[in-house]
Amino acid sequence: MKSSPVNVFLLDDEFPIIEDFRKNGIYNGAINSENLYHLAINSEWNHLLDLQQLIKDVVTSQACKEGLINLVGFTSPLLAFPEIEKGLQPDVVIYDWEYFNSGLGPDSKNWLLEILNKTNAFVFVYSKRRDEILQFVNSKELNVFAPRFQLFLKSSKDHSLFTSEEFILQYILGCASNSGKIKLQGIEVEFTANDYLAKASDILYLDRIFGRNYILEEIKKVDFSINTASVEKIFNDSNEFLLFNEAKGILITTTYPLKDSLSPLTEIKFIDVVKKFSISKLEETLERGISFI
Amino acid sequence: MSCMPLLTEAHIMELAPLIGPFEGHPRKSERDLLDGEQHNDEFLKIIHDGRENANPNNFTQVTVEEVTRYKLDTGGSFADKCFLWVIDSESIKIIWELTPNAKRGASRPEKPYVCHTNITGSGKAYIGGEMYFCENGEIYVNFSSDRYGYVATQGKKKMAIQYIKDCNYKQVKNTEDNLLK
Repeated sequence: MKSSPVNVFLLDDEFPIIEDFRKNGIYNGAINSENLYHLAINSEWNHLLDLQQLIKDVVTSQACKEGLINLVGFTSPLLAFPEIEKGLQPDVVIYDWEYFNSGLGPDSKNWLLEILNKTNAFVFVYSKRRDEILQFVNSKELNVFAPRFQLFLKSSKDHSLFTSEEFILQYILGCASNSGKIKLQGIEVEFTANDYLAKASDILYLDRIFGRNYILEEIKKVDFSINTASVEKIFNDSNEFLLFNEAKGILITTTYPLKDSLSPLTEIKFIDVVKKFSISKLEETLERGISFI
Repeated sequence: MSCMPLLTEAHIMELAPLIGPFEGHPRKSERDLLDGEQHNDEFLKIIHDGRENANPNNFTQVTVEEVTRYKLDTGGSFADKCFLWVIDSESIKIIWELTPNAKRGASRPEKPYVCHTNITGSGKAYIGGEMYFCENGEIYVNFSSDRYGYVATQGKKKMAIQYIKDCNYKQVKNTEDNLLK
């Protein structure tokens, strides 16, 4: 965790315009969290309801109340650069790809590169036209920054346990604190970093290992709380195991085709694979059929 | 002969049937494909058609030391130099595993790269797995694809190796044979 507040930049040119703010030049520079929250609770956000909710969730989070998060908005990356030059370094950037006066590609890509070059921030590239910008995002120049950015479809609820905004929320809260209320499919869940899941996004491992329906059902059984004990319960309820040849250091799935030739094999419960090795090793074995220790 | 363009009847007889992603998998189904795992349009230009033999895009070789360290000759993995392959209805297709796929990163933050269904566009294929090109000339081929390799029979695997050899790839090693030695 950082000792100073986590600086979160929200770059989007579609913040609602209110006359009072416009007159006072609020949109011409850094928009502080108080003003963003004011917009979030007093304005119409039309197709950006999920972004509106994200602002509300961040600003009303315990971490933000404790001064651990500093949310700042800009209506253009060009307004953010002077602040970066002055020393306000973002830790997280939520980066809208489309701007009114820019095409779909080159400017947005160059600004993104500038942010990645000038800061150490993790960047959520956020777009309502995600599939059209893949050609720019999956480029050689950006590939070197692959570990530092993620692409999200605005308001996407498909194919993931987290919606786009829920994922961003848990990431921000995770930068500020080891615990806090996150959201999964709209359900509030208390997450505490634990022996198995270092950060809330690691819940995606559970999602992929057990499947969404199982996880959502299990979360109800553990009172919407993710911690060491509840993760153990989720694993133990499944009663699933791998096979382990300790001498050779081979883990295989129970349906691995060559298992009869890899004796002696002992059963090892999923939870024990995670304890002894890691959750990523468990997932790797399930995906590949075999893994080596 | 420099290349063998397409699958022959003899190949197909052993490789059939074509299967969809996760078909026959004990734990997963096509519904488990994540966002970013189903499309291939943006990768078509860099997917290598192995019928022409030659090296795939972003060709990189593992060292002998890496083969030992990651046990690549018996089925281990090393993403940095891993190539994913599938044999679809026409030929073998190959892509470097670390080919960026930002769309997938939203649902798999630790793996913003391509997977086997990004080769097929989540269509059908006979079989799939990973391959490693070693500096010593050997090519280690395994069937570690939960989408297309998991349920493959031994006969299917054997023919897949034969087909890769028929495409004129030299010194092709089935890692399962090595594992059982």
